[in-house]
Amino acid sequence: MKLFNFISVRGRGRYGPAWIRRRTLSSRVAGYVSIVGLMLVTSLHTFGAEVDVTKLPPPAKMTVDFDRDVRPIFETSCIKCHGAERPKSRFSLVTRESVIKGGEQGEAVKVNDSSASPLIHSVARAVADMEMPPEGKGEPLTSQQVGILRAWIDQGAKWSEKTSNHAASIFSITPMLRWIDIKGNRDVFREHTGMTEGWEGGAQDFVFEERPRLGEKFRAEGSVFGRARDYRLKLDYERSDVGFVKGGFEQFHQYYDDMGGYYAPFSTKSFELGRDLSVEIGKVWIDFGLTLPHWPRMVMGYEHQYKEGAKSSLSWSEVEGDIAGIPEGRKIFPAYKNLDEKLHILKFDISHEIGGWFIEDNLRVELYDLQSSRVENDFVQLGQDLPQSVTRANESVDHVEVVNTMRGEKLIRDWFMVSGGYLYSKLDSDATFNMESLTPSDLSVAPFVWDESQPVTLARDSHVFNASTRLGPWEGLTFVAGLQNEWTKELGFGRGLSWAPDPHVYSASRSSALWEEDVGFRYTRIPYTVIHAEGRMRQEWVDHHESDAFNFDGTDFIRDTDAKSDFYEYRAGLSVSPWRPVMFEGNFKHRFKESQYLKVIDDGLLPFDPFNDFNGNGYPGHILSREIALDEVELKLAIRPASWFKTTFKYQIVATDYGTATAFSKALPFDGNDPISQPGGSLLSGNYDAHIYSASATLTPWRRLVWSTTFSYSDSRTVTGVDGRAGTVPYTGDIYSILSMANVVIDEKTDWHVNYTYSLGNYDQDGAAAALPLGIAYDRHGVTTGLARRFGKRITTHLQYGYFRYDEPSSGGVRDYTAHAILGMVNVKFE
Amino acid sequence: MKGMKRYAIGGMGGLCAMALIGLFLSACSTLQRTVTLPPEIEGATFVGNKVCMDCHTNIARAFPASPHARFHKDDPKWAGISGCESCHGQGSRHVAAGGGRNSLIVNPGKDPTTCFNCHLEVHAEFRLPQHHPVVEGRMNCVQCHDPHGRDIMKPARGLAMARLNESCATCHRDQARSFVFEHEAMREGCTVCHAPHGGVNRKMLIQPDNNLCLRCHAEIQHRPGDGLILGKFDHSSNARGRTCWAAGCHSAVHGSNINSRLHY
Repeated sequence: MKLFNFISVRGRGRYGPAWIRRRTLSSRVAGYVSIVGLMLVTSLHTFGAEVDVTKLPPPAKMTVDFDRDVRPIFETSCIKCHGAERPKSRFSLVTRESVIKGGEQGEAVKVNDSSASPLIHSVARAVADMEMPPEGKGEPLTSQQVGILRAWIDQGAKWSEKTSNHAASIFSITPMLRWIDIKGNRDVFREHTGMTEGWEGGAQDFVFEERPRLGEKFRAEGSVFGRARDYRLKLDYERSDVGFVKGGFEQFHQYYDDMGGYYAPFSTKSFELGRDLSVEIGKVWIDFGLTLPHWPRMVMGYEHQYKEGAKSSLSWSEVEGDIAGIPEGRKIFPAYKNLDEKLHILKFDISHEIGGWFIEDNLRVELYDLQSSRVENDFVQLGQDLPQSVTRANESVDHVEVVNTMRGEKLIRDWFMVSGGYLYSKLDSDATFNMESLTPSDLSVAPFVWDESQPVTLARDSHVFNASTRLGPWEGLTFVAGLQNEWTKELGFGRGLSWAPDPHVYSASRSSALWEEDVGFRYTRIPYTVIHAEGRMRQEWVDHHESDAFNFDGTDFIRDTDAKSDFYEYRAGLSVSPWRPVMFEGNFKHRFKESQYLKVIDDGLLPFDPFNDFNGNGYPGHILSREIALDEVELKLAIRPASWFKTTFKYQIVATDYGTATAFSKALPFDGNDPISQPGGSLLSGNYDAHIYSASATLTPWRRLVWSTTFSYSDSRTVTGVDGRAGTVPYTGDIYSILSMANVVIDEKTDWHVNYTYSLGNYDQDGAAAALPLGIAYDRHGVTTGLARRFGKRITTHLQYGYFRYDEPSSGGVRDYTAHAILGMVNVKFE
Repeated sequence: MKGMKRYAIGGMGGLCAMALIGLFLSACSTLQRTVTLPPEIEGATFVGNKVCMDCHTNIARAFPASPHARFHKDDPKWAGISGCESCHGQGSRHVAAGGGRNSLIVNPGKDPTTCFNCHLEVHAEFRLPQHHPVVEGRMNCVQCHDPHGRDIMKPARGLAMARLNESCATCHRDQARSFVFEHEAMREGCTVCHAPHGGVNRKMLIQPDNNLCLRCHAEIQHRPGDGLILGKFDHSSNARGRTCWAAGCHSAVHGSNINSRLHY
């Protein structure tokens, strides 16, 4: 119910009375004059203006019980607008005090005098324009209901706090203790599950919420896992119509296994680093918000994000050995990357409704600092314990970026919405780079820095404009359309690399202009059917210039690889539901992108360049165009023959073609012989096909059991245009997945649940003779089951057991594991 | 000793049998409680979209343009199938409590179970060996997707339409940052190489081998026997026994600040 809310009519924009929204400016002035008049009239009413009390329904002749008689009326007809959270007209019906006190217009209930209570005048619809619930917001109260409310007021407006929906305070905590035993590769287990072996203790979750008074709330929630150093804490203090302070801290670990590749013919088939690779990922934040009535909503905050640790890298290094007397090399020795990334974000958000427009501005200032080093071994001789040397590529990057996003949105009519926005971002970045060699067998030898750059600078400016609309004045037909335009300019410049004989200078500039349009419609007039279609088009022009006076490869270049690309994506589909238990959906998508490269310049820079005859050394100087075309069909059938059974079937087929066209060029053969003439031309450089089948069923045969299972099967095949050459065997295989869960209510206090997940992948490759087989074949099981038992109203205990098994035959079993886990939890809750 | 083992096995079997019998018998007893699965809310009933829109005006304003609104009927009879409550659960208790973020309404932003009811294959992807930690509760769907906005392939807030790699760059700044020498594949989006939800290959690569690169970088060869010419150089030996991004090769796959061929 919106009691006495005429003042907020203007502030609520489109929810103001329709006769104000539709009129012209002059009539709006008249309307506002009328409002002022209405304010005066209603003010008089508030201070005892005459209401014909004889027309009010009489008080019920009964002893009123608040929970039995009054609360249901409030909950059915009033609370959705006048609850605890952002009550309309600041009138809340959640405590006796707030009901009596009223909202913006003052006292709502005169205890023991219902005929003088404005609340009764409104619900009895005795005052024009003040009827509650308002028209369209709910059914008017019956005379009997009004009579009950009158009787309740006349009998002292007694309240029941015991059953209040507005709990004054909540405290809940779930201490936990977990033990995991792993046989096999514990690093792979950690990577897959995010859990570590051994004991773990902490709190699965905790919540503390306190509402000292209406409109004021403090809430703290989170979780703690001590040994893993995984934490989550959120703090929130709010005061309605004043503001809030929100803050928190989150941290978890991403684990990586430290193994490289697997090559069966070698005597040592795989290698590991012997390191616990993990990255600590976290953030700390605090926001201060101001939510004063009729003021713009403002939020000022600070956030610090970080990632620190070491992660695996797929830049594996060479292992050399003899197989049947023939020298053989395979890059399977593991590599890793040290990472120390810090990000500081200052933010300021402001939003407000002005004249029916919702206006929002978000400002972000980011200070970014990255220190990383990629550690790769130069090569390892089979039979030796340590690599002969290690190369470390150290990189340091910092940047300052300012991003401001402004957005406006207005619902002009229920069927017509417009929005627009503008984003500006500016980035300035500095970077350094050096490479050093280390000798693992003799750590007393200082690292040899064999190359080091002088500072590299980067700058980027972007302007993005967006406009979009939704309109549908025709019943059953809705259109959406949007336009986005982005202008970006990037500059990069570097010099250095100490060993180069000449000053090594390189640069790149990239200016792009992008236009993106999207349109769509939805038609719902066909019985039981919705038809939709969408199209998205994008045109991009890139002015790209790069030059390098002398680089690592002993080559140099200057080139303009300006590009023009066209992208479009069409989707169309329908949903049919002739009966509520059955719904069928079919969707088709076609996506196509073509990039054409305009070779304004493609040449070498230096006269002594040995490759200068090749007409430019910078890849991809000889590429003329690229295409990616995707087609996808998706079919879905959902059937719910009974309230206790639902099943869904889904099928997708995806086909993607990749095309490349190159110009005539000369290439250098590996054996150093005379250059080869590459004829150029177009080819289907790649093809990807996939079928995905999935089905699910949810069953609740009786009210104490729910069982749900999802099954998925997919197969895919990737073939590239040089199939067979140098071991580029197709990448083909399939994946099966089963996800199943069941919950059983054993008795009033005990639940039993079981979860089972299974997946099997078969992308094994038999290309060992020609290449490094990288396909994977595995099967993975995970079962968890447990009991939950309640003790009284406050304590619930959980005891769970988990079994996890992973087999990867394609790695010779070195990545296999079997794990058992036991978890105990006790949830204690006070309200 | 052998006898003790037999007794132990027999005892365990007996316990299991008793548990099953107990479960069966308890199934016949009356019970006040009932099981639920998100987005069901125990004891609540459907209220229909219009009731939701009374308070959630910002969402209601934008939602009709969302792909999730394609099948969206305002008829309360369809509330559990096509309306707000098909994802957020029955709203009557939430409304009766005057709103608020609590257990009386489902927030798929915290628990993806509701999303998985429709996106079955995505659920399966999140259970593959390599995946974003969504089912572990460390990420959620709305970090990358705006379920109510017109463009579902972007986080909520900001402009109405997505920008390239916008979702991924929120967390993966190291990879999505500016480089002097870009890898042009980034113009196609991160998902041209990575499975965004999960996959079987490390780093969630779509293909773990050179097919990943050759989809775009293959070119017509001079003639059989001349090796594998890519980018004006013979890669026959390089491609055998290693990936394109192996140590010492094109290891700076996302871009490089010093080398145009992405060697470092």
